[in-house]
Amino acid sequence: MKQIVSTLALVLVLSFPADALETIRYFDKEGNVVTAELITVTKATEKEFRARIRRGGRNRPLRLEPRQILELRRGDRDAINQWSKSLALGKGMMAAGQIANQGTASGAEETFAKAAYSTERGTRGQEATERAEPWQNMYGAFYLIEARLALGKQGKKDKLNEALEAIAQFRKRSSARAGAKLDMSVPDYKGGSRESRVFGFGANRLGPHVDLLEARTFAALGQADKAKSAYDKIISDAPTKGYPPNLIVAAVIERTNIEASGKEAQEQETIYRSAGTTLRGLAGRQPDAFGKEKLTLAANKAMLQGADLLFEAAKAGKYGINVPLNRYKQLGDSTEARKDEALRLGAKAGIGMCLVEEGKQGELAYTTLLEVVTDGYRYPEQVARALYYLAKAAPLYGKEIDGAGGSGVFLREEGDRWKKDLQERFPSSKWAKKAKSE
Amino acid sequence: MNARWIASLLLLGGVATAGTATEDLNFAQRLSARGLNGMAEKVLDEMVGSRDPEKQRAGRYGKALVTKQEAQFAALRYVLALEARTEPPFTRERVIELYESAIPSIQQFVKAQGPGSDSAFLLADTLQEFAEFLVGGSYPDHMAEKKEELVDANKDQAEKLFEQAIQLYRDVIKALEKKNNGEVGLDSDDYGAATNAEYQMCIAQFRLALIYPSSARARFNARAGDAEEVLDEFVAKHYDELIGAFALQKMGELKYHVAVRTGDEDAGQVALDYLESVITQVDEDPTVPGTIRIIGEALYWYGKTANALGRADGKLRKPNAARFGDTIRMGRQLKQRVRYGAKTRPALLAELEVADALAAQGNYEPAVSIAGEVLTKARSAGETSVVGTATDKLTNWVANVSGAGALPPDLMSQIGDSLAAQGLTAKAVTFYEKAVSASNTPEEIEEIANDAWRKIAAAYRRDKRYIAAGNIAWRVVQDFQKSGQGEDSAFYQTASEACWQAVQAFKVVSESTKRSGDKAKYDEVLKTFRDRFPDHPQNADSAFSEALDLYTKEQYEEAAKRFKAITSSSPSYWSAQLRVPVCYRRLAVEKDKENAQKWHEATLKAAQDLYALASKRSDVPQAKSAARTALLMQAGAEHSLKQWEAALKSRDRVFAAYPGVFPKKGFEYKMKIDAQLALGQLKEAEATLAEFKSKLKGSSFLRRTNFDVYKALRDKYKPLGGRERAQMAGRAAQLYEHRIDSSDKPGATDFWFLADVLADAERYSDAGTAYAEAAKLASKPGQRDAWTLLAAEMKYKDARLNKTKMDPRTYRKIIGETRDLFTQVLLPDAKQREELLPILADGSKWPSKKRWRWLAGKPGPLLTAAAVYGEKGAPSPKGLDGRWIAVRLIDRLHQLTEARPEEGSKKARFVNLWWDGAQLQLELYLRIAEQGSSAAHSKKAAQYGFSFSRRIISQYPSMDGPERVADIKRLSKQLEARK
Repeated sequence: MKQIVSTLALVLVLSFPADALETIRYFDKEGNVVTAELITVTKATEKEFRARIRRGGRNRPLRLEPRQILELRRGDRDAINQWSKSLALGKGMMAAGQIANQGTASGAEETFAKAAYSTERGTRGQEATERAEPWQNMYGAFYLIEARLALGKQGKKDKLNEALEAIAQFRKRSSARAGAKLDMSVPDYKGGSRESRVFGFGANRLGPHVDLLEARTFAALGQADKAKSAYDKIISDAPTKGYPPNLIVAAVIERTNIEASGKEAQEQETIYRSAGTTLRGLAGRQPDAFGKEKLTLAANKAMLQGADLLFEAAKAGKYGINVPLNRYKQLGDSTEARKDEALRLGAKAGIGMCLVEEGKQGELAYTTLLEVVTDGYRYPEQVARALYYLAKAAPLYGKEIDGAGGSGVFLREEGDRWKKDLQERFPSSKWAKKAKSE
Repeated sequence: MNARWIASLLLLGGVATAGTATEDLNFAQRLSARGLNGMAEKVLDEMVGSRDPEKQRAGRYGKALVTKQEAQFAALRYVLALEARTEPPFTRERVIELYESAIPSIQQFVKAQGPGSDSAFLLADTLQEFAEFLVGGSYPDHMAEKKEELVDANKDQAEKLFEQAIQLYRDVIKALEKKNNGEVGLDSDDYGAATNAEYQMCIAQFRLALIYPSSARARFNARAGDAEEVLDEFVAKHYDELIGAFALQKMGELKYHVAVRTGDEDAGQVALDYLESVITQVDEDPTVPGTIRIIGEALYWYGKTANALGRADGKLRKPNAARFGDTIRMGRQLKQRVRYGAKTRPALLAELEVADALAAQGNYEPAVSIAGEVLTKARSAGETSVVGTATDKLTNWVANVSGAGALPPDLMSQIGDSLAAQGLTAKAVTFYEKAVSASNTPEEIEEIANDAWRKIAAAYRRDKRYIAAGNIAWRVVQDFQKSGQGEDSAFYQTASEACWQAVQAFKVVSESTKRSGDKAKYDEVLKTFRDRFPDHPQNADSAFSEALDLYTKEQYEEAAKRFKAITSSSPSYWSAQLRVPVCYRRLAVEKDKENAQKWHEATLKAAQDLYALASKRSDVPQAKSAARTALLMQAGAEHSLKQWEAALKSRDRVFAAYPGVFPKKGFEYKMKIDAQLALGQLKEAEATLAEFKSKLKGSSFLRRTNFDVYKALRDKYKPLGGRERAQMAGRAAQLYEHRIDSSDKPGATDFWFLADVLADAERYSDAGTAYAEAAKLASKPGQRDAWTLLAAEMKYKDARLNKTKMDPRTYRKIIGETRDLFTQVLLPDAKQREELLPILADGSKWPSKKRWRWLAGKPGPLLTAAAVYGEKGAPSPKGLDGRWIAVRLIDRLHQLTEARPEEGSKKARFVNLWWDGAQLQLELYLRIAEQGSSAAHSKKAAQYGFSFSRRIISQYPSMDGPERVADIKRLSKQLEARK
């Protein structure tokens, strides 16, 4: 009986989602995004990733190009190996925002630093529990860069420089064979550093991801040119080196954000439009449908973002409302909008917003925004802003009906209901905060 | 079922107790434990009322116990209702009242039985429970946080109660130790009781500590220290027993509170250690129920503590995110170790703590997934408070979930339903949209997603967002039309309902905006609805709805025509046909009363037609029902048209065809009885009434019908005489008694009528009681006097009727009392009563004008008074011959009445009184003549009497009947012989 209970419990445990498991999220050849439990990684190079995963209750082999991996979570809280536990623990801390040490409690940074540089072999008989593996060093080092970057963004500028040092070390260790011994400076946890012998990682799939972290670190340091050239390198290498689509999108958009920063709205719009064009170009060179779609959608989003910038500028009185209105209409009527619901609804929301600001066509504003609210359940950001403006459009429409001899009371009352919806459904959105402050 | 249970069921009306005091007490306790407090109380009442002192004592103790148990259940139900967000069945005050009534009665037993007794233990438990209820919790396993306002308001009282309870437990322990010569060992019979007392004392200490808020830190620390000390000692003593684990779990819980209230992180760590120890050491064993609960609770408090450390709840300053991982790991323990108790409240709440930990780490999808599982389990287990908590958490987290996969779409949709039912439209819409997102398979899309859209439309419509509602619902319809699915699909049903939603929404829009575009849209939707979904109930009923609309507007004649015109293809055909006679009836009784006859005839005709139509279609259930209603309507119309025989026939057909079916709730019987009475079938009406009473005791028509039959009986028996009169009056009296019994508050007149009919039935004693009751309720003094005298008269009559069976002394006593009463009422002045005979002899002195007027309206008492005074063997007033007083009273009666009054005169109704008085007077003269106080008196009486008899014989030869003539002539002759 005990055996049966244990087996049952095991099944339950395995189906239990927790930070204890190593998981992988990837897209398959059909373009489906798959999440699975990672049992073991059998091969991980720049070009190839092989593993065994558990899907549908069965163990299966998995073979992917690294570009297909969208997310790979290493580290298991319940593994017997202490470094695997550390990786999982550190990720948990990152997720909860506990990055730096807090009093006697270790933070994610320290946890990853230990994992990044340990060459522990383990006491005799305890090797499986205590031994540090090169791949654990590699993920520890990668997560360490992320942790330092996050701390830097929180205002600790020195951590950004430490992140750059960690990036340099990562690259150096990646260029060495996995398990090869290298001498380098490692943190000693007393505020200083010491020379120590560490493992090399060998060529790995994390290279472009580290490049992206480097670009982000430069951006966080305010070194826009360095950041842009780092991003440019990723973007130019992407088609030939087969980078993951989400990485390419991040690089293009983040670069655009830097370039647009501090410019006039119309100029910014041009920059985003140009980013959109770049992404569309890159999409055309993607080897699979998933990549094409991902980049096209990102391109559309960039175009929409540009139009939104025009709208904000028009609201501030820099242009007439017709400028963003026409741009939204252009986007809404485009071929892409027929394929991309996010673009279509985003453009619709934009049109509605412009009409409300104009204050003339209440009915059209109302019906346009209502379409976004009722159709846009997959795009919370669009629904949130549509709700914000719908709350204003409803009484506007009601007034028009009153003027035409009907009774628009029900619409005037609706305004507050949409506003309440916004507060209840998207309480943390900027639109809810904006509505609350008015 | 054991013998005692069977006995209890048989003796529900009056429970007899037959066992020993202990057996009976145990039995009552078992009844009470099953919530059968009424029965338990009956048993206990019997015990209290018994002659056995031991039983009496046990009964009283049991009553105290039942009250305590009642208070406990009330408290439990009260707090559970609050947690489940429903209306509590009791007020908080009621629960407090129950506890306050239980405590003093238990205290009495403690005084009598001493500190080590069961009652002392019971009192301590009660005090502790009461204190816990006062500060917010209700019963020992309560896990909710206490409400600060309750704690603030009641902590002083609760503190005292806890301290008293702790002292009582200590006394119990001491008494048991004393009994066992210093120590209660494992081999002692008292080991269990002593351990329980020790444990409860620890718990009371623990709870006492928790009533101090964070602001009273010093007191909290001191009390928490005390609690920890006793718990620690207890755990050390019972480390190898399950109860030791219970105490350890409480220590963990205590440490959690210490951590959160004082910010002591180490205490939090200690709490985790204690609780983990409980979780790993105790194995779930369904044969030991405590084990299931304790693991769940330990897991819950573990998760709560770890999450508190993770978030830095309360006074904790340093958030430690790694602790969330601890909760998640403990979630694995939960899955592994909790099998039997997986659906218990603690385990479910523990799972929610795991979900909380995941959400705190930003892992919303698994958090939502766990909360969804908990919600499903809690629903199936009926754990309503957990359902509420899980729904709250889901509501907060679900917006962070991209959609598919987090929860099954049907569950999302169900949560949406629950939120929509609470009026939380926005949140409901979010869940419905998530249900749409999560629907992947064609089946899910057809059955869940489409329906979710329809529900969104319905939610918006309820929230008066008509355009949104109409647009969404209309889109569902369009999607259905594009789908090419058939009428047998689930999508068809959804689209059909959605189309109806769209019709309603666009109707409001069109009517409000009055714009042609909106009207055109409404017309288009309506047309689609009519054409595409003809079998939708609302659609199929459009003609019916129009007719119904006319009916609602009270345009009955036109409505009747429309209803009649509805064809048999309509699903509302029978409903429509049924309404035709109803319309005519409304015209007859409400709308056009002037032409009532015409409309009743139309009703009759329509009902006959309907019956003819419906009785042929017995295969259709609606037709069956229509036929019955048609017969009823027919009988009703005949009744109104006073076609009694036909009405009776129709009624009998209804009863024969549908025995035991009373859609009109008794009006069926009323109509039958009306017809029977109208046809003079009094006996049959009485029989029908009896049947009516047996079948429909609560019918509102019963009282009126009962009165009608009573009245008919009364009207019939009044002119009669002899036995038949008394018998019929007896039946009428029964009916009137029923009338009074069924009346909430019968008045003086009710009792007067009853007394009258009882007197007619010669039930004088009952009549006397009824008159006395009437007198008691009378508002006017004159009426009170009259009914008092009538009550006395009835008593006197009853005494006379039963004189032979009665002890002569009793009889004399009754006569004396009656006489005194009459004298007091007739002569309220005490001085006048002292000079009774001269006053009566002198016509100017009595009665006063006021009393004279009163007597003129009610001269009857004079005759009765005369009869009482003249009663043979009656005790005479001091120094007086009662017979002369009687003669004088009759003289007064004759002044107020007439032997032959003019027709139509008010005095006509008293003619019998005059002659009864005259006959009594002659009898009295004769008696005095035969047995006078002196020869002179006797002679004088004979002369008076003879002269009076001659006068009336010559003046009124026919008197008031031949029997009287014979009686008077006989008396005249006898007096003549004595003169």
